[in-house]
Amino acid sequence: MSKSEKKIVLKSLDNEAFEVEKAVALQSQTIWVMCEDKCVGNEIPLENVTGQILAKVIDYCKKHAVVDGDGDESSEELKNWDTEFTKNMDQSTLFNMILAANYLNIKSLLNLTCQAVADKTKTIDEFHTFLNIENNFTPEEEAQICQENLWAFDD
Amino acid sequence: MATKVSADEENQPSLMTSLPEEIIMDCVARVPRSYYPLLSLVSKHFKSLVTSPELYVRRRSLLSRDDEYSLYVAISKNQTSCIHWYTLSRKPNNSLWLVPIPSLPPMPLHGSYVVVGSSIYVMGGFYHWGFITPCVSRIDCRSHTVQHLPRMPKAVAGPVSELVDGKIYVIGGSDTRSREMKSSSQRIMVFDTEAETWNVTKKRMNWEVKQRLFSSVEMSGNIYMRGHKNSYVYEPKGDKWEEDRILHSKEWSNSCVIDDVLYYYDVDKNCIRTYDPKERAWGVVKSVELGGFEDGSWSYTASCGRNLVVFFHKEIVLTETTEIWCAEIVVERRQGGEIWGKVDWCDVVLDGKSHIMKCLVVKI
Repeated sequence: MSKSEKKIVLKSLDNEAFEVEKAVALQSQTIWVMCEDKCVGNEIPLENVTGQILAKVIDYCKKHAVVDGDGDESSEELKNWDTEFTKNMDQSTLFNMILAANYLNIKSLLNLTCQAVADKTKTIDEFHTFLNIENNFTPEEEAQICQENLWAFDD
Repeated sequence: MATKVSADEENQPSLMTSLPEEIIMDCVARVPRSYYPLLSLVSKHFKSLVTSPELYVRRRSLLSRDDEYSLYVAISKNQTSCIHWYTLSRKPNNSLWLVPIPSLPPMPLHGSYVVVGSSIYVMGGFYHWGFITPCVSRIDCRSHTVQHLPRMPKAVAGPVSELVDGKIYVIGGSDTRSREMKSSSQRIMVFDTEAETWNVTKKRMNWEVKQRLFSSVEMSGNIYMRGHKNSYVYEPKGDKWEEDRILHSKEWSNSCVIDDVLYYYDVDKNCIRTYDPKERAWGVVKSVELGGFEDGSWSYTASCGRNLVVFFHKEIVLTETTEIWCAEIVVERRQGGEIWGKVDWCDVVLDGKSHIMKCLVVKI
């Protein structure tokens, strides 16, 4: 295999190009299928992911590809890295990371980001914003909810 | 500040589309169950999501949730009105609080309340306006719905009841609503939870009637129970019945079991006592101080895996109200057999006029 064949270019929604090792990119089942099926060449357009998010996804894949390949990092270290990775992500980044992990079909990243949402989301408001859930109670229903669930509103 | 369900939440004009349903479910499945009452207030969809069977299938597939326990507490406002079920849940400020389960109807007082798998069986007892009921119902603790089951052969209130090998043994209990609720029957009623059928054991002639059994626990397949005059051990396998005078030397009640050792909180002496049936000896859990409870208060214990949960009652003389407090204690058996405890947290979990009638741990 020549050197160029080991690399692959991922192009984001906003036309940002990322050259990465194939082993890194192929953690995405979606990219793997694209490479297998279409023989798209070396450049893969990813129409649902922005450059900002794709950069983070690639960071994640690089970290995990190294470990899977060489086994030079303990799983404990990797776990700590994962924790740090999602720790300071804001709500919209986390939300978009979930969408990207889902679209790119990277199961471990999807698990990690879903867990991060579960860990960070503890209030009704956070659920509305984190998961972009619409509050569809009518004002009457809402008044009744407040009355019946004083424990949730009294402090 | 209050967390409000407000419709005029700022809608960020962003790229956000909504997440696929399965991902929302995945996120919710990873949230500890104690947050679910709060989550049910997020939207109509969440309200049904937190009780859906698919969610619990997903939870089971996530190994970290494998050993999650939920605390169910039966509460009567004045000890004479019917009970309502509450769960220990998170408030928006992250503190734990006893939260009523809105979908469950009021249930009879002084019934049998027994956990089988992820269900609670409610048998017998009485509503404040009526007679003792023979009705049996099963609460599904995931969906919080109730299913009715075959009635008891005889309606009783205030018996003791325990699960052994898939069968619920209902022992003693009164068929009249006298204050003492003395037991009248010399038989044990047995409900097979698999076949959903009732059986009644033969009369036990040496069994003293006209006394009330207060409290019971199950250890190693035997049922230990306390009456006024004595404590007893019933072995369902061999249908054997014995007295246990050492067990009766303490006024144990509202107890729980961890690793085949009985635990109860002695409010008079302000300590946690243990009874090991193999050693036939009482002990005290070392280094636990909960303290500061008035005379006449009561306590309930429950075991969440290897942790001990203790509920107390605190009278607030000034306002003539009561507070229910809860403490979670990590217990550990050290070399030499001594049991040590460490209070993980202790806080008020309900105020107003409320009395705990039963507390159960359900593995969801």
